[in-house]
Amino acid sequence: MPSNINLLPKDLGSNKKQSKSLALAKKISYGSIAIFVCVFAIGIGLNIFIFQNVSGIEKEQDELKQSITSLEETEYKLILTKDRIAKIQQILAARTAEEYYASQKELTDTLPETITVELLKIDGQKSLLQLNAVSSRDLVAFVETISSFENIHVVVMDELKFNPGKGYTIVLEIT
Amino acid sequence: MEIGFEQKQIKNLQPYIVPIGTIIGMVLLTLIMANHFFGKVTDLMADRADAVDQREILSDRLDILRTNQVELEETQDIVRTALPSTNSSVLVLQHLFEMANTYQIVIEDLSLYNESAAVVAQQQESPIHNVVINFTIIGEYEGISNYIAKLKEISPIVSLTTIGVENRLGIKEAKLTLRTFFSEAPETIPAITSKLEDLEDTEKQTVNVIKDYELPTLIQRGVPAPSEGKDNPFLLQTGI
Repeated sequence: MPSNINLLPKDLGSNKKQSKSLALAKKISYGSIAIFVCVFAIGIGLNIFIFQNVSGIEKEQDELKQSITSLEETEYKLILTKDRIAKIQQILAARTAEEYYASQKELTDTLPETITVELLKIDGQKSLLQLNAVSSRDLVAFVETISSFENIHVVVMDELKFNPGKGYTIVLEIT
Repeated sequence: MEIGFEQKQIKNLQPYIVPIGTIIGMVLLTLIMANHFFGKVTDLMADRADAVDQREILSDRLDILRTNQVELEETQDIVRTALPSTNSSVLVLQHLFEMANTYQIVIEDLSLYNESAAVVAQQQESPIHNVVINFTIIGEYEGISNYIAKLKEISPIVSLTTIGVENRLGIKEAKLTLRTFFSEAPETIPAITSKLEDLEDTEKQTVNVIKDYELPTLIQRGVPAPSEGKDNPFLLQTGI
C-alpha cells in the first residue's frame, strides 16, 4: 500500500481538507457560470419568442386595418345609420299628440250616429273631446263603453250641458 | 524564515479568491440579468396583451362591417329618408298635399317657420333641427280623421304638436301644428382601434317600424336618384 510521502517542508505541504474545499469552490463557480449562461439563454430566448409573437399579432393587426380601410364606406354608413336611428328614436319617443289622437280616434270611430264630435283638441299634455248627443240614453250608453278601450286610461268629464235645440253636450278630458 | 500566522492564513485563502469571486460575480450577474429579462418579458407580455385586445377589436369591427355590407344599403336609405340631413319641409309639404288629395280634403292657411336656432342652442352635440308647419284642413270628418292618423306614418317623419278639430255649422275643419326634422350627418368616424357597435335589436325594431312609412312620390325606394345635370350649365349637351 502506497504511503503518503511529503518531501516539502511541513508548512508548505498539501492540505487534504483545503484541496477538497477548493475543488468544491471551483465546482460551485462552474455551476454559477452554467446557471448564468442558462438564465441568459432563457431570457434571450423568451424575449425573442414573445417579440416574434407580438410582431406576428401586429402584422395581423395591420392586415385587419387594411381590410377595414377597404370597408370604410360601410363603416361610415353604419355610423350614419346608428346616428339617424338614435335621433329618430328620440323624436318618436317625444310623440304624445299622436298617441292621444289614436286613443280619441279609437273612441270616435265607434260613436253611434246620434252622437257627433263637436270639438277635438290636443295640445301638449291635454286632450279634450266635445261630443253632442241627441238623447241622454245614447250618451249614457256611450260613456259606459269608454271603459272598454285599452288605450284610454283616465277620462275626466269637464262639462255636461243641455240645450233643447242641440241636445246634450259633453266635454271629456282623455289621457 | 518564520512565516507569520496572518501571512499563512492569507496564503491559505489565496486559491479561493478566483472561484469565490467567480461565484459572487456570476450570482450578481445572474440576478441583474434575471431582473432585466423579467422586466423586459413583463413589458412584452403587456404589449402582447394590448396587441391581442386590439386584434380582437379589429377582428370584431371587420366582422360587423362584412356582415352589414349589403344590409346597410337599404337600412341607410330608410333612415336617411326618415331623417334627412337637409331641410325636409319641402318633401313633407309635398306629402301633405298628396295625402290631402287622397283623403279628399282641402289645405288652407299654411305657414311654416324654422325653429332650428332654438333647438341647436339646446343640444350642441347632436342637433336635430326642426321646421314648424301650421295649416288647416277642411273636409269630411272621416277624411280629416284618417288624414291626421296617417301623419304618424309618413317619411320624412313628423311630430304633431297641436290638433284642433272643430265642427263649425256642419263644416269640419282641423287646425294642425306639426314639426318636420332634419339633422346633419356626422362628420367624423371613430378611430379604427375603437370598438364598433353593431345595430342593436331596438335599433333594428325602429328601422322595421319606419320602413313601412309612406313616402312622398318625389322619393321612391329602389329608384336611382335623378341625374345631377351637366358639369357646365353654360355648354350645350352634344351627346358625344
